[in-house]
Amino acid sequence: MIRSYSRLITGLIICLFSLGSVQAQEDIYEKYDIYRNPVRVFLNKFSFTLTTGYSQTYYSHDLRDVYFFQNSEGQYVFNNDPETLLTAINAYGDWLNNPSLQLSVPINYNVPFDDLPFEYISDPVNPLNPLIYALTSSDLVLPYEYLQNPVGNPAIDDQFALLNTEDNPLGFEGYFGGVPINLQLHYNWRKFRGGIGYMFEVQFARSLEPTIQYGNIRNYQPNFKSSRFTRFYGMLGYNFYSWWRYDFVAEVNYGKLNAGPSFNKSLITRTNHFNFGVSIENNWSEYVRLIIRPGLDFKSYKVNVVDNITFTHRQPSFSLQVGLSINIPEIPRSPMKSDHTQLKHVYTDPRTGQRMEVRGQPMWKRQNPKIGENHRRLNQHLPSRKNKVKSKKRN
Amino acid sequence: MGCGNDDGSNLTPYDTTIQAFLSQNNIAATRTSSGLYYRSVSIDTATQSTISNGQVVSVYYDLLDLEGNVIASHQRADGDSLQFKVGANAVYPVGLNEAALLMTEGDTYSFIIPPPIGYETTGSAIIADESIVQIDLTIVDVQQEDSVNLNEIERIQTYITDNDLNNTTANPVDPVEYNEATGLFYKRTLAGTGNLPTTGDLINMDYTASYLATNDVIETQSNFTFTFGSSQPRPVLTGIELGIAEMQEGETALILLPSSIAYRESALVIPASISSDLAAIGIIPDYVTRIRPYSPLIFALTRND
Repeated sequence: MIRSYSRLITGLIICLFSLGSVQAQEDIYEKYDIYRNPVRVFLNKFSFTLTTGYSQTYYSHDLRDVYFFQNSEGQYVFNNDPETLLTAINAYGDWLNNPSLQLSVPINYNVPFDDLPFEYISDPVNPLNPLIYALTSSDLVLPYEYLQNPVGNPAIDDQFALLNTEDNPLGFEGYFGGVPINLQLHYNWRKFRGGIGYMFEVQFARSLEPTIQYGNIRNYQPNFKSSRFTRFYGMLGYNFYSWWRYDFVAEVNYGKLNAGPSFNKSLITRTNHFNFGVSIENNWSEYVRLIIRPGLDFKSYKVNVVDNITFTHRQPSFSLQVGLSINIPEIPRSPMKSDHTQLKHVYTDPRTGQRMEVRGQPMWKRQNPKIGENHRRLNQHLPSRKNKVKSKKRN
Repeated sequence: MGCGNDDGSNLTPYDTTIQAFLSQNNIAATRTSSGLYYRSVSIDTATQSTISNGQVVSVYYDLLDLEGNVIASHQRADGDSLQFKVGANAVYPVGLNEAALLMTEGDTYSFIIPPPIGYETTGSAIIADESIVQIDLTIVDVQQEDSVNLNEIERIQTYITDNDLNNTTANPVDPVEYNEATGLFYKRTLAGTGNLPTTGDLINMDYTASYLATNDVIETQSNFTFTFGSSQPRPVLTGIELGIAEMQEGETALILLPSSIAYRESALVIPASISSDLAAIGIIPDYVTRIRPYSPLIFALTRND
């Protein structure tokens, strides 16, 4: 009985792997009435991937056609249209993520703004500049550090800056580090793949440096320490190169970023993001692979600070992620403990008499190993085998 | 009469004006190398020790223009004397640094101060730019800075006693803790539940600052943010950092700061009414407009984060 089963198994193994086409395999399953769970077979076409790593997002923006104002307390922008400066300066801060009105200073002109001598308006330290006068008189006094040698100390002026960015281009730029966690599900068809994904990322804010140095302009300090981002995306990929156990898959993701509560969504319009990456996959087996994925993200968003003031923030990023990808095996392990067959083979349920194809290897090992490929002694250099070999020798 | 020129340095157009004034009024005065003219009005013979840089002097003054019109004055009838630290660029006009070094305690001197060491640019209507002024200065007290600091600690301790701050029934929740090494007096008024801050934490706090001496509020601010332990966006007061270091998230506290961890010698501006104008044009820091030299402060802090 056993001999006849083993003959049948051997015969079927040869048949299964000598036939190349899927259609031929389907025929074999039909011909010999070999059961395979259709749900497992279907799910086997999908890969589940979980990766994480490190990202660097480059934030940059230009402050276009506004007044940039800096005092000891903070940095602000306000409209540079003289018409809007007839009675008051309304200056906004935190334009990276959550712009808000932070200074509202009345201006008292002795003469209309347009009639003021140019040097009064353009000279950022001229006390007769009505903007300067209005802004300096609004400055917070406390609770900043005391200054040694206070009278006439040049450092006093270091806190103050006023620029019309129409004449003096100014922007800020810098890198935020981050930790992305990426979950992806894709369908494999030949060398192509397509699917969906969800990414969660925490970014750690750093100060942004001025793009052009005008002497005393400080770094822009975001008003949050960290922020989270999420995005759902669709993906397409193509396996363009394979070598030994490695696959190289070009992938493109397309989706929309959602920022956490640090970003005021009502004032922000986001463009869709593109991500280009190469998934380098080390196939441990037909079902499990280690993934290293460098990728580039291209995305931006616009912040509507106030009417007529909108800034575009560029937000490209580079990430390097590592993770695992699995496919659910289309067939289960052999349920028979005494079954030491290493290749895929057919098992007959003794109770029902149903034939089904089963695996002889765990899912993280290559199925259908060649002769010697899975040999205990030949594999004794592997860390997973070393301890077993040692303990056997001691015994 | 004329004047002595103690170093023979080149005279400026201001000297011409000043010497004409001296001659016209028959006043004898001595000129120093910086262009400061001085003469003694009264000498206190009982005290002969000279004043040196780093010491704190207490003064009264009259400020006049060359026509003799009083621009500003602060005498005994107006209240306590005014302090400044000598040799620390902590007095305006800056010529008073040199002036103090010429005097001893109890003396009254009359000085004529030319614009380069006086009122060159004030941005003020009270004293026009390029004004030559006379200042009659009386030094009523000279102290070492350490002695001033000790006196502040005593005043704070008196304040704590007078306001019963160690009584946790009347003023919950903890008695005042005094850190002798830093000078910080810390009274927790509502216990927090969060973490103590660590370097790099973004701190969000509400504060109300007031003078210890009068309880007058100087400034109130909500949701003031800064990065703890760094200098971003700008270093905050040493005393604030020390106080916040004691605070858990959600905690409120009263911190009492001697000037050694607050605004120290600040600066004395004569007259005080031009302080805002000087701050506006960047000659003095903004805090000088409100903080007198050697002022202990009280901050009522709430750490929000």
